[in-house]
Amino acid sequence: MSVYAAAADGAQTVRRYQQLRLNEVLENAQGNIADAGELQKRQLDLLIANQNLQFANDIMTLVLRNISQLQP
Amino acid sequence: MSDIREQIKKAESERDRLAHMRQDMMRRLVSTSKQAEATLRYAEKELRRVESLPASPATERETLMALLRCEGARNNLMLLEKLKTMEIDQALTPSAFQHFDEILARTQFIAAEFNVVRYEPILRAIDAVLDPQKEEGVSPEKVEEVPLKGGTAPVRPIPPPRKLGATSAFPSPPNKVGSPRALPGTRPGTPPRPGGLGTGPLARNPVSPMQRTRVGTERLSMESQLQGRLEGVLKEAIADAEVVDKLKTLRDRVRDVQASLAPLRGDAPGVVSELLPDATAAIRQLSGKVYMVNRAIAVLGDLGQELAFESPVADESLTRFLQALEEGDSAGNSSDRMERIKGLFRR
Repeated sequence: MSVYAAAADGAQTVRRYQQLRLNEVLENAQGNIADAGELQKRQLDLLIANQNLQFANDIMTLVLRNISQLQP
Repeated sequence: MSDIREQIKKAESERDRLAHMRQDMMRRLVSTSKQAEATLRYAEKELRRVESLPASPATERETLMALLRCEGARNNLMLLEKLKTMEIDQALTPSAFQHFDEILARTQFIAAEFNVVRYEPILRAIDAVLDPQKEEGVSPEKVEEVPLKGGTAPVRPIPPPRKLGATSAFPSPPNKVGSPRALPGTRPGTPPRPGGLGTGPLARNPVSPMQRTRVGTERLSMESQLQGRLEGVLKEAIADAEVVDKLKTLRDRVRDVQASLAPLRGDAPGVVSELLPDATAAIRQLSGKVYMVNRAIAVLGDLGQELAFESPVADESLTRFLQALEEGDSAGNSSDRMERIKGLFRR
């Protein structure tokens, strides 16, 4: 094998390795994005539930105050 | 990666905590509903009672109070029913919020009206205490006499005191009011023993002639009661030297409340949001917060779809999401919460 052929083969190997590594990094990144999306969704779900509970709590407090006011 | 997963686990435990809170809230909702139903039953019973009374200004006020009680109790039940059907895990729609807002405004209106009606007699009572002359229709003769504390014997007219040593032209029958009390061990009409009253307990602790008569005893008893009562009142007055000031402050406060609530009387509930800024501001703030989250969810739906296609986070979606948050912010929402949500998407 000539030097040029060996260099071309080496370059091909490096490119293949780089491609594999790039694919791995991309997969990881996509996994991270998916996890981050899942996390954001769950955090927003929690935020909504928290707000709704707080809202319900405020209304119940108001109702209890009204009840005590309406009683003799 | 592991950091995100840890945060997801934390979010899951937070969700469990919220689930417990939700169960607790549902239990409270059930018990509060029972109380609200009992209040409604009482209000309806009261309304039936006052409606059966003959018409008069006094019963008119009672009827108004009973009507307001019924309306307030029904309103409370409506609010609780609405809470029961609310999906805790889902953002409320703006229309659901509008409905809540309307019921809450109605609640405030009823409470205001109820207070105006209820405060009137309180004000009159305070006025009567502070300034009896100004109280119309209350003359000194009309003021009810307060019964003496501890006095059980009926109060009889007190005749002028007998002069000591005076004798009546007509001998009184024994043991009658005004006659000398028969002493123990003596028969009625028996002349006094020579040498005094003897050696019994009365002789050792002689009582005055006044005390020997029933009227005199009653009078002394009344005087001592009056003195005791006066001392009690004085002690109370000294102990509560600020009572009058407190009453005046209370009266002023009640009048302030009345003045601020007076425009509400007879107005449509819609006006309440303008007239009761404090109460409605709180409601609006709550509405605004969840409305903002509602908007955010809608935009996040698009964002989530793009994430599902494994494409990079679209700048356009993110921009739209942030815009939605900004709009929510300008609608008067909590800026802290905004920043937190924005931070989630800026990571």
